[in-house]
Amino acid sequence: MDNRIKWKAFSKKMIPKILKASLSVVILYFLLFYFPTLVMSSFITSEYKPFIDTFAAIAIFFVFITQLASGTIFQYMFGAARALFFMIFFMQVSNSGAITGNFEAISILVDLRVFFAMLIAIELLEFGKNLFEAVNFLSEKVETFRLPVMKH
Amino acid sequence: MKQAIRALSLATKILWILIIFFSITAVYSAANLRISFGEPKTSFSNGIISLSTPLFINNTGFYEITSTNITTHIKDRDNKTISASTTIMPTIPPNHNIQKTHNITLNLKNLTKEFPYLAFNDSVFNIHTFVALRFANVIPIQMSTNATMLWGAPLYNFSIGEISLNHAKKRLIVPLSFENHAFFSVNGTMRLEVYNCENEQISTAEVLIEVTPGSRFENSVEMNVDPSKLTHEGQIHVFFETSMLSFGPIVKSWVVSHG
Repeated sequence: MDNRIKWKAFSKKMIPKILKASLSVVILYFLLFYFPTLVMSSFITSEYKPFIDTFAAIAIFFVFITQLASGTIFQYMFGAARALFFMIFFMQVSNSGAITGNFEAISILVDLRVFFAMLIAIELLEFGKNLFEAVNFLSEKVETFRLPVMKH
Repeated sequence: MKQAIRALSLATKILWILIIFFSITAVYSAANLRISFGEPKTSFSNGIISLSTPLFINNTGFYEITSTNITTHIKDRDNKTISASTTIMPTIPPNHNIQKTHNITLNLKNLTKEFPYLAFNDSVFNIHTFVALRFANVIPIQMSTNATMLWGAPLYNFSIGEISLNHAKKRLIVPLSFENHAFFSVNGTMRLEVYNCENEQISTAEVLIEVTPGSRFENSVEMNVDPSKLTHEGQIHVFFETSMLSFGPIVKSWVVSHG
C-alpha cells in the first residue's frame, strides 16, 4: 500500500518531466540535426559531419537529462557539465583554426576562431551561472532545513 | 546571489540570441555573395605581358567585406616565383558591388635573364591564385585555386652547327638553328661575336631575324675574318635583342673545319 502511494507520487512527479524532456528532445532534434543536415548538406563536407552529429547528440542528451533532473541539485550539475563539455568541444573544433572545403577546383578556408571564441565565452558564463545556481539551491535547502518549528 | 544568477541568465540568453542571429544572417549573406571573373585580356608591350582579369564582387548580404586582396603567383617547375601580382580591393558595404581588374604581369626580358633555361626549354608554369577577405569583420575567408600554363621556349633547340672557313673569301660560315615555341614572334637582331683561343675577338656580325610562333629558324651566317688571328678553336658568343626579350651571351665552343 505504502509502495503504491510512493509509486503514484513518483509517477505524478516524473511523467510531466519525461513528457517535457521528450518534447524538448524532438524540438532540438529538428533544430540541431534535421534542419542543418537538410539545409547545409551541400556546404558541409563529410570531414565535419561527425562534429555536427556529436554536437547535436550531446546537446539533446544534456537537455533530456537536465529536464529529468529539474528541481534537484543534479539539474545544475548537468548544466555545468554540459557547459564544460561544450567549452572543450568548441576548443577542439577551433583548435585547427580553420574549416576547409573544396568547391570544384577552388579550395576555401574559413577561419572561425573568433566565432568559436564567442561560443566558448558564452559557455563559460553558462558554467558560472550553473555553479551559482547549484550553490544557491544548496543554501536554500539548508535554510529550509534549519527553519525553527513553531510550537503552539 | 539571486541577482547575480538573474544577470548571468539574462546575459547568456542575450548572447545566445545574438550569436544565433549572427550565424543565420552570416550564412545567408555568405550564400548571397557573388564573386565572378570576367574574360581575361592579354596585352604585350616592351617585353612585358599583361594579363588583365576583371573581378566582380556583388555583396547582397548584411555584412561588409573588408581587407579583400587577390594575389597571383606564377611559379616555374622548381617552384621558384617568376611573377607575383597583388590587387587590393576597397571595403564592400552591404548591398554594394564592386568591379576591379586584377593584373598579372610577366616581364620576359627579366624572365630569360633570371631563368635562362626558359629561353631554350619548354616548361609548365604553375599559377596559384589566392583571394583573401574578411567577412563581417570577424571571419577571415581564404580561397585559392591552381592552374597551369604551358611555356614555349623562344629559342628551343638552339644549336650552332659545324663552323667552316672559306679560305678564298676569308669568311667563317656559322650555321645556326632554333625553333620558336613561344606564343610571340622573335623579331629583332641576333649578334654573333667570334673569339679565338686567346680570347681575342676575330669577327662580329649582326643578323636580322623574324621568326613567327611555331616556325623554325635555320640559317648560315657568313662572317669576315682576319686569317692572321684565326686559330683552330675558340668561342662564339650569340646575343639576341628582340622586342620581347634580350638574351645573351649564349657561349658555344667551336673547332674550325677547313673547307
